[in-house]
Amino acid sequence: MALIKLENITLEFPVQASKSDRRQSSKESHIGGQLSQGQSGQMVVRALDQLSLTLGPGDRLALLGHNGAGKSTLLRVMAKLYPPTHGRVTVQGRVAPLLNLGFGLDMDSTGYDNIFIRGLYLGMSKADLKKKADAIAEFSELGDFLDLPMRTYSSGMRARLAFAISTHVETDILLLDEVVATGDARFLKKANEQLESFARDSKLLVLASHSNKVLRDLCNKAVILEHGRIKASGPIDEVIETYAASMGVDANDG
Amino acid sequence: MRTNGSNMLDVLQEVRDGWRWRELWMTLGWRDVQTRHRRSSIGPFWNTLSLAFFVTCIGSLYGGIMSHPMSDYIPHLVTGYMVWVFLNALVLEGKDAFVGNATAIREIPVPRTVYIYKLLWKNLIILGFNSFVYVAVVILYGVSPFPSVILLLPALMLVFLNGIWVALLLGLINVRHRDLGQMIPNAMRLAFFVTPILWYPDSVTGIRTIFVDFNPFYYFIELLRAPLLGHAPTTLVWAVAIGITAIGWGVTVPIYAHWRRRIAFWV
Repeated sequence: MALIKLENITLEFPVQASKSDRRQSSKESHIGGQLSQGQSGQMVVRALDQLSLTLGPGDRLALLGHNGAGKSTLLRVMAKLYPPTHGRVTVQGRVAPLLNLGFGLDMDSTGYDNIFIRGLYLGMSKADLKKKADAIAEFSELGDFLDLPMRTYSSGMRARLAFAISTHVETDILLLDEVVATGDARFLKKANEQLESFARDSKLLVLASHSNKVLRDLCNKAVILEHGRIKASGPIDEVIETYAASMGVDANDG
Repeated sequence: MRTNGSNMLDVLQEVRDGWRWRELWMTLGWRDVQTRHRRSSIGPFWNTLSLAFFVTCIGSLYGGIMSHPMSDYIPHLVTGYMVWVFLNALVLEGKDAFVGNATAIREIPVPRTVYIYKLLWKNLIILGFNSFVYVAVVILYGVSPFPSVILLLPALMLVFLNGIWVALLLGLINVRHRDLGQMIPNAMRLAFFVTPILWYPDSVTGIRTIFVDFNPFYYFIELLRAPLLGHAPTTLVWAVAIGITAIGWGVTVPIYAHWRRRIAFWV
């Protein structure tokens, strides 16, 4: 049973960079989280601000928001990679994050070897992977390229392989960050079907993307994040309308 | 963020959970050994070859300087140096246990001890490749390591227990204060010369015995070197090694418990 429950999550990043001498701008910035001074004069970025959210089986949530609104951070909190500064995170079920396409992929190894490395990282056993390797290979449609080192792949091909592995893992919760959009139209369609069957099995999907089309196709719910807070939430079409209106663009674009 | 009992239990749980991921770290560790020598025709046997080369050159030179018979000096050197290479790697790679796996730590929620077990496993494999030289030397000079060589197993277990806390502690500090990572290789280079590896522990006298008596590396070298040469490590060596293990874990667990949640932000 897949469940994600976030209660009043606040997440503050300590920033270790040296402060620049650039003069403080008085205008509030439109992008990024909220910057403030921490206790010891250290800069702190408040990436998520008292955010609550509950997701259950069959939910396919789209995360919308400007650059730096907190989408990726929220995904990382759901993946239990970032412990929140305040608040409670309850996650039930196995989680497969697909946040960074390059991750767990060794450029000098063959695509086939990489199925095993990434699969093991995602918690599959070798025996499992042996059984599924063919299905993953077929889904990625990379054919003979799987026997070549990854450095010969284009970014779209890498995306295909990474996506194929993550969606073949036995998991309850799939977290995707802006990745599906890298594929070509044909792959998008395939990815879409895979994710729909994933959702039909009462699993949970969270997807952050700037592509309204991808989100509309894949998701049934959406939230808009702004400076780490939830600005709007509801059924996907309504929320996309709201978001487009606030950004001053047509909802059918992109 | 306070350190309390349940936080410390979390650390021990992480140590245990990492063990369950052995398919992952065994694969990654073995791949690390292979990729270091990728596209070379003898691959990981380069470890063996470079140890053999070192022992031949240094052995014939220093054996003469020390005026020890070769049949005594070469086995002493090969065992001591082989063990040093192993311990040195545990410290140097231990400090990078988290920094070196920053991408993984930000992407995938596996227990962080996985990265430590990976480096222990990798260096055990390299020790295995190096032991070919040891076997050759033992046969060549007719040293019989039996039956004490069996003590190598508990000794290795003890070294691994220390490898875990060293990596947890140095890895954690190095994530936040990267200067440590610059200091440690210097310290280790010095440690190599002040530890009885090229020379014999009984060849120092007077005040200089502090380099033996108060040198933790001496005890760990001796712990593994003695069984390899067919003696049992003395009770003092066991006692100090076990004492360091206990103190090391006692210091590391509360510190790591307190800061472990911050690692993902700092790497």
